[in-house]
Amino acid sequence: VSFFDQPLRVTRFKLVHAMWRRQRADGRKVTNLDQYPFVPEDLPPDQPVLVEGGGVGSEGGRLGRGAFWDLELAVQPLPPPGPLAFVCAWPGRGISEVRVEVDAGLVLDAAAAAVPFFPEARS
Amino acid sequence: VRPYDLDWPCHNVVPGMAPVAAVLARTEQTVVAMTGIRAYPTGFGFTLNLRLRNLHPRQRRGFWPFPELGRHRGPPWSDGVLRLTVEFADGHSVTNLDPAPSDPEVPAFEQPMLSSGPGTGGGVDGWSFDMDYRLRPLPPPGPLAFACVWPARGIPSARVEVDGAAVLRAADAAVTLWSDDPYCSAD
Repeated sequence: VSFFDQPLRVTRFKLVHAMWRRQRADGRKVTNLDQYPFVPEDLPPDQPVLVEGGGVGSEGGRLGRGAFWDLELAVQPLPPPGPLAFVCAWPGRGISEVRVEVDAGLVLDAAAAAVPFFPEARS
Repeated sequence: VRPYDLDWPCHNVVPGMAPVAAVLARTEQTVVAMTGIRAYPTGFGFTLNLRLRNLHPRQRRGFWPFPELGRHRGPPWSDGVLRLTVEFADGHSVTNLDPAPSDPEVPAFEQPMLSSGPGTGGGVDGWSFDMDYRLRPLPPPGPLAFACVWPARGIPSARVEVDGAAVLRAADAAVTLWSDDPYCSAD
């Protein structure tokens, strides 16, 4: 069964086993197991949310080898300054738990450089 | 493995990222931006962000500005397509109107090209699209220009330049995952 034949089921199955999560310098964290399909309106503004966006992938592919996925994920709110950690565990693929940290300042600098497509349309 | 079977860009490579984002063109109703350069050992990719609003009802039917992916639906407006050109500092350029590489005996990564997809998008009275493009080869050091012409959206000509060296630095940071993949040996 190809990825594209059953995209939702396969994606969910793989993500449940991948257990991605992001951890912030102030201790707040969010994981893909929270499974937010969108940002709930009644959520506290400082509650981190991770939403899965579009993605592409293939199992087997035209050459009958391996599998790959490239998923777009979005997190709100912005992290505080300090280390921003990405942690994943995927026991089914022999990955117990691994962690990398990046400087949240890079994210904050990028956010400061963001511009709206249509400035006057901002509410 | 036949040369034409080689994937590009290869899924066996984690690309290096160049922190580049630029608004290529802006009108009252249309914005064309370029973000997220992802560099590989033999080329790079980026995302073209299109935002359109207040579309005329006629334009909403079968609206499709990407000529490289063929006519979608609706009439073939000659001015309705987005013409995208990437220019290197050495004078070489490639556009989304160029024919796709077609020589089955030449590895894909050895043929200059600009191709698109995948992308996401949609809308009703407005329209939003984020289309991934892939381009090879890598640019030389110097200005790397992105130009677009979109007459139907009031964009006669627009151009921005980024630093080609930033793309090269990102390519140096790309990581090959498995060295024994016969389908990705050159990338």
